[in-house]
Amino acid sequence: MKKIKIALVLILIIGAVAYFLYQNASKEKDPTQTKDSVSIPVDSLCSAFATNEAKANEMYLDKVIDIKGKIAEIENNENRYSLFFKNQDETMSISCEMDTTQNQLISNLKKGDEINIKGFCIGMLIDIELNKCRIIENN
Amino acid sequence: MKKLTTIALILGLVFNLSAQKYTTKTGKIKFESKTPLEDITAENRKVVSVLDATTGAMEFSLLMKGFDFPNQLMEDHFNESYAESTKFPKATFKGKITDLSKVDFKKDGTYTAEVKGKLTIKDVTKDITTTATFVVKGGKITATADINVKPKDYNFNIPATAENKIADSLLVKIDMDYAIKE
Repeated sequence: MKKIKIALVLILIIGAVAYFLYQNASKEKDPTQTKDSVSIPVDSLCSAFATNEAKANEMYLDKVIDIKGKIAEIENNENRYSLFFKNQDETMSISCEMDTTQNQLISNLKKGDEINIKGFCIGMLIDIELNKCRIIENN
Repeated sequence: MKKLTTIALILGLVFNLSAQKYTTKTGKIKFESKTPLEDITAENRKVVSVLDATTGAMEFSLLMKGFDFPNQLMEDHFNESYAESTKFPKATFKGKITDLSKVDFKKDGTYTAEVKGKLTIKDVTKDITTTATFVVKGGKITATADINVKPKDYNFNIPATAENKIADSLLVKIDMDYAIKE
């Protein structure tokens, strides 16, 4: 009887651990929970991609990018926000697709606001694209 | 005065020419994998596409890492193993509306026409033919089409353990919202 009890408890614990691990692995990645991020000015990231896209991909793809700047544009498509940063001469944009957990925060923002965000670099099409972005609140 | 007319004419011409190109940066491409074990849908909301209304040329490009999956585990498997998205970040399609006479981009309405072209994923290029629907309304164009893509054709490395969870043929739904290029 005791053995069965112990076995049952063990099964429960294993189940709970497995469930926890699965939940964790299947959760949306949060760029603010990653220790190594690359802090880079908008202009530097833009010129890196403009000069050599392949090299920039090698350096920044999959990395968490920590970026500060003035919001050049705010777009909302089907309740999902994208914030845009532009380089100095306005030839390139960084398009940051925001995590939907940020919607409330973004609704208080406007064009021209200074902001700090973190997101995953996924490459460049016309704009440099970051996704799963979250706002870093500076005190 | 003559100069002004010339400038106006040139401007008009330039405007007219540029008015033939429609673009989007927020096109949507979704794919569905259906098996008895699991249904998976992933969506990319940042597809870049250009539609040239004069020639019927169509171009699409997307970032593989831009596909949003129902959970992170699936997304990681897709990017890290099957699609190797770091090595092959982009997928592209270059093609053409073959029967352009069937579509009048200047007139509101719904048109269907054949689109033929080349799809490149993981550096593998295959011919694709599909029927697309174009809805022209107030200077904007929506284009939708479905295609079937076999992951094996494009060297997706799907391990035996996942083989029965991923369909042999994926249904890819294309949904573009074009506006005139400014």
